[in-house]
Amino acid sequence: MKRFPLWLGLTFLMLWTWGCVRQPPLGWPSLTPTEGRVLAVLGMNVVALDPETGQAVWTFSWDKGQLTAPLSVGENLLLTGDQQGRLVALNPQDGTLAWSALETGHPFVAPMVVEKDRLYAPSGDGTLYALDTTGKVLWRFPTQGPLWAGAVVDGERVYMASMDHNLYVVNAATGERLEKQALPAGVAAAPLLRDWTLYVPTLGAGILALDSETLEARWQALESAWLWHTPVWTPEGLALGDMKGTVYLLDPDQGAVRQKWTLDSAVIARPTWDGTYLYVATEGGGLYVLDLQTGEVVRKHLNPEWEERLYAAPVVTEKAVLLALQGKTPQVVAVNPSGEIAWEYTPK
Amino acid sequence: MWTRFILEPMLNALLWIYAQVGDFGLAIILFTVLVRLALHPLLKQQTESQEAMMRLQQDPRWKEIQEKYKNDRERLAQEQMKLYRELGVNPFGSCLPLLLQLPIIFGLYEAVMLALANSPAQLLVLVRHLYPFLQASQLVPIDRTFFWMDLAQPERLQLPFLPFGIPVLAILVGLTTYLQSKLMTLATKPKAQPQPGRKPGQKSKAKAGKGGQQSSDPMESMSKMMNIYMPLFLGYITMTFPAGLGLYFLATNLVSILQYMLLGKIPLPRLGRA
Repeated sequence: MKRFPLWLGLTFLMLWTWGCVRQPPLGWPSLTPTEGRVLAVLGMNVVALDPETGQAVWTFSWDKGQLTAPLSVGENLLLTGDQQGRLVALNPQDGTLAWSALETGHPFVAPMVVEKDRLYAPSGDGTLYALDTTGKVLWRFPTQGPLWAGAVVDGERVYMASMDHNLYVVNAATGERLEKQALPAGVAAAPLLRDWTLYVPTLGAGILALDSETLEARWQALESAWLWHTPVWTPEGLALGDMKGTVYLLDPDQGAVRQKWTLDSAVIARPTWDGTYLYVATEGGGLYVLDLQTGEVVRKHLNPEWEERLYAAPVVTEKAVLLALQGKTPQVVAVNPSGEIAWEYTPK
Repeated sequence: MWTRFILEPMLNALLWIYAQVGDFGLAIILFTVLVRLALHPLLKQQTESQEAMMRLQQDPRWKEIQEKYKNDRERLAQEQMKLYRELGVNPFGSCLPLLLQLPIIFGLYEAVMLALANSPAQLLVLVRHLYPFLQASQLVPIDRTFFWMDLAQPERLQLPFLPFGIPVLAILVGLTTYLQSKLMTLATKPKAQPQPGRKPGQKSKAKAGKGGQQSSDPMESMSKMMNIYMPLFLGYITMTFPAGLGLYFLATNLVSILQYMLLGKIPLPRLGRA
């Protein structure tokens, strides 16, 4: 009893630590294919991998915090962002740091857009930043909610969907607001612009198709679905998966469901279309290969070790499918058509 | 089990309050008040047990057996238990209510942190824990601003004439934690017995200050150490962790002080002499 306060203090510290450990991670690992390489953002590292062997061509370690934004590829620049809202630019040849800009205090989680000599960086602080290729801020466009979706640039119009339940159109040169359209829910993934239509996936209100000029709604489908990724354009229609584990193929003109597949669990990662099949990763550790023409599930691999680890879009190469796995130690694995692991890469 | 019976009910209650009042800072305060009031009977029991323990330690028989069996730990324990029974004191009476409070306090902490989802990865975890009656798509993201604070970021008050931000919340948490510990010590201290040959207001040897003797009671010195350590520790945590947590600490401290007052354990005139 004499040591009760000490005991109490220690208990407090122990439970405190335990409470901190249970904090969910801020970001997910990601994969970005480029010519002959696959670039992976894994925790505090960016690595360029040879997709055939899994060997690292170069690695970059960011000692200031977790890198939370997927890698965006520009002509002479690779861009990502960290948990403290720092924008990190790398040289694509060797992965060395080109420059670092901003420190908003809020994580960058959306992919940046590199368009000509301008970069567009949506930030968790609710501001869309436009910068030049040296990291100098050209303009800022504030919104009322965090920006978790990527921007879409079409000439002089920048479309930006915010978690404040609005879609903004901003002048690319000046950062002035051109238009604003209320949305039924927040948006955490970049809209898809195709044939003057903007397809906007929402969290809890399905998908909306808007006229890209007037922002008038053409249709809304899957009204209560939580959609965490940008829809995929395929010749058979618009493909996307929801949080209940259903993959839909929609008619892009009317929003009608052409086909659907019920998978084992939530589809958070954006599916990948390789020109023949649709590759879908599920949260439960499933990798599905779907034939959109016949509706057949061509292949299915369920790996319990991947459970709650698949949040990044798969990258399809000639010989394998590459998956980035979330976890305390994030990894990249290459899965061959028989479901075997061809190679795996874990950062040192 | 932790998630289903502690975390989720707390999280959903907190977000339900947020849906009603539309301000997350206010929701944290209201929720903390409600939880602390629900725990009030436990606090009452804890304080009474602590008081009984303190009284027991002042008992001459207690001091006598401490001295008599100081070299025989087993016998000492037996005699202590005998005395506990005789005086009707439960030695664990003050720990048990505290232990029961801990899961609730930490559940509340986790609920606050979870609700302040700062990225899609965190939001995905949050929406999985929400009950269907909450319209999650309309509720998220939570508006994290409360006065000048961003509840998801460490708090600093930026003033135009200062080149650095002032951690106001951390200072308030430190001060109120100190005040609360001091009041708790006062509240559980048995009322002073007049000692022969000692004038009212005269300090005892144990409290004689610089020139006098240090307290020989290890529990008292440990308690003094914690009175200094905890405000610094919680102040540091508030300075480095999201402000939502600091707001919870502040609300907890203020409600606790109020609870001690309601229990009649802090006669206001004694505060000046604390």
